[in-house]
Amino acid sequence: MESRRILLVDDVEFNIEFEDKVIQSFMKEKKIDIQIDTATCVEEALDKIAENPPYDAMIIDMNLPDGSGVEIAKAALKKSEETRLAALTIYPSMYENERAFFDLFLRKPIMPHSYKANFAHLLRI
Amino acid sequence: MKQSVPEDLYTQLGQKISLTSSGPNLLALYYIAFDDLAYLDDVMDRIQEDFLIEKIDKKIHSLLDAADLYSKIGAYQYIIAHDVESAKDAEEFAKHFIHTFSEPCIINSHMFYLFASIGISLYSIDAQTIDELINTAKSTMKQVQKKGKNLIGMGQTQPTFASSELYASIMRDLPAALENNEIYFVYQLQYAIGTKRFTGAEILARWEHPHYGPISPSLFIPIAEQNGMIAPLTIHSIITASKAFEVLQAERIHDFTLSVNISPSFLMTSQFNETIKFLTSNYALDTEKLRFEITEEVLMDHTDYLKQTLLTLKQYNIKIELDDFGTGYTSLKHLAYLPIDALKIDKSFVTDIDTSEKKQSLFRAITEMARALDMEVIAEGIETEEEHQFIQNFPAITAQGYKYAKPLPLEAMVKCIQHT
Repeated sequence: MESRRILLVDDVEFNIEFEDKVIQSFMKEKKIDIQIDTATCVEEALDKIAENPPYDAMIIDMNLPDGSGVEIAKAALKKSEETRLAALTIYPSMYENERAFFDLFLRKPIMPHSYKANFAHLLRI
Repeated sequence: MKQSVPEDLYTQLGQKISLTSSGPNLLALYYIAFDDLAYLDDVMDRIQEDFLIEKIDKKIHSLLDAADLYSKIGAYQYIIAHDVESAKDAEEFAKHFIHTFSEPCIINSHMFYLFASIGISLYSIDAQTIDELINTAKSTMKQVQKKGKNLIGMGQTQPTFASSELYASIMRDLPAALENNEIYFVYQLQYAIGTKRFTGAEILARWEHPHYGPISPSLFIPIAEQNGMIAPLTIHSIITASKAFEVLQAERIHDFTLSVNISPSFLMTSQFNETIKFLTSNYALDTEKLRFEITEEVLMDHTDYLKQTLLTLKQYNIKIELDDFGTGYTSLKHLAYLPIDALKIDKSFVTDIDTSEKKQSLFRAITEMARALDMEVIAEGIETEEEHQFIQNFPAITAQGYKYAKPLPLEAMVKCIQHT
């Protein structure tokens, strides 16, 4: 069975749980195995990137308590340029200068329908 | 300097102005810009974008009369001009415009909201020439665009509704408020008259704004309905219900229902059913104890579509309550046609019911009708001992109001239930 590994970064527990459920239910429909790691701050995300083989994709909240999602994107790309990156933010237009680091910008709050569609686009499935 | 507007629109505006200046009407010019569309580039290719532009164009056309001037003047920017009798009429049109675009757009399974900023200028109040008319509307649009989304501004008249600082702040801060728990939920208990027990609660959203303090739901809910935040807000309340059910179960409080308010502007979208399906299958929702409150307003149009949606909810065993019953548009035909389980009698029928024979008769008639239709009755807004005494005559009904409990946080509600 096909499988993917992804990293979700968000400091709000509600969001992590919600995203996790949306992705799990979507991948179940697609019959693709998914392993989801999570991190709640930049530091934890950087550790996860360092400790693990490159992720297939990451969905990164841009506004984290200890820094910006851009730092995570840079570290991820340094590890592997193959990792697909999505930024998650309430204000996509605030990050015009950071667009180059990401394959996709997702707007918060998350709605299951559009999140699934964007996730499929991110993973090219 | 001339604007970068098409020459023919410029000419037509000139003709309109000379016609308007000979009559009693004003010429309203709306400068409309849809903003924050840059991020869409990521999810749409060129063909899809063309499709979106076509959709916007079609929607705008549906709002226009034959005599209205309309022109696309840039990427997602439009000018509309027509005669109005007053500034109020122009404001109403702009509100209607924003309302029309409050439904999310779906293209190739991508759903997104379009946010419009509208600047209005009026000939001959705000401007005396075509250039002034366009410039004023454009600069007003730019001003409101900075303040938030889905806002309307008027040339020199500045209506308080659209341009007030609080309104703009609510519009701008709502998404973040939901994320950082400034918006939270409380529970208004429901008391069964016959058994003298609390048997359920309505979940209500509250907002503690860091700058403005508590913001009334009567202010922020309509704005959430306008700017597309109502769907995420509703999802939050339903997930809150699922967490509350877990707590109630752990406290061995069984046979207790939780009601969530469902706004028509979410209920009537195509994502509603799919969202509910996702929530019921991924969260610990005891759907037999979950209730959705819908308002009478939703019954006005599209009743066939509404019936289908409500019947889908029935498949999950979710019960439907009709909120604010008696204040709006419900025709009895709808009550027979739609799968509604309960009527919530509006507070206005209950206030001072002990002293008004007419209210008593109406209340009695509604309860009898509900019984005949096999619907439950919930009386809202019971505040005084006298009102409570009158309600005692109806052992089959449930009541809510400050007389029994004010809206409470979850832990306080649990304690309250345990002590009755």
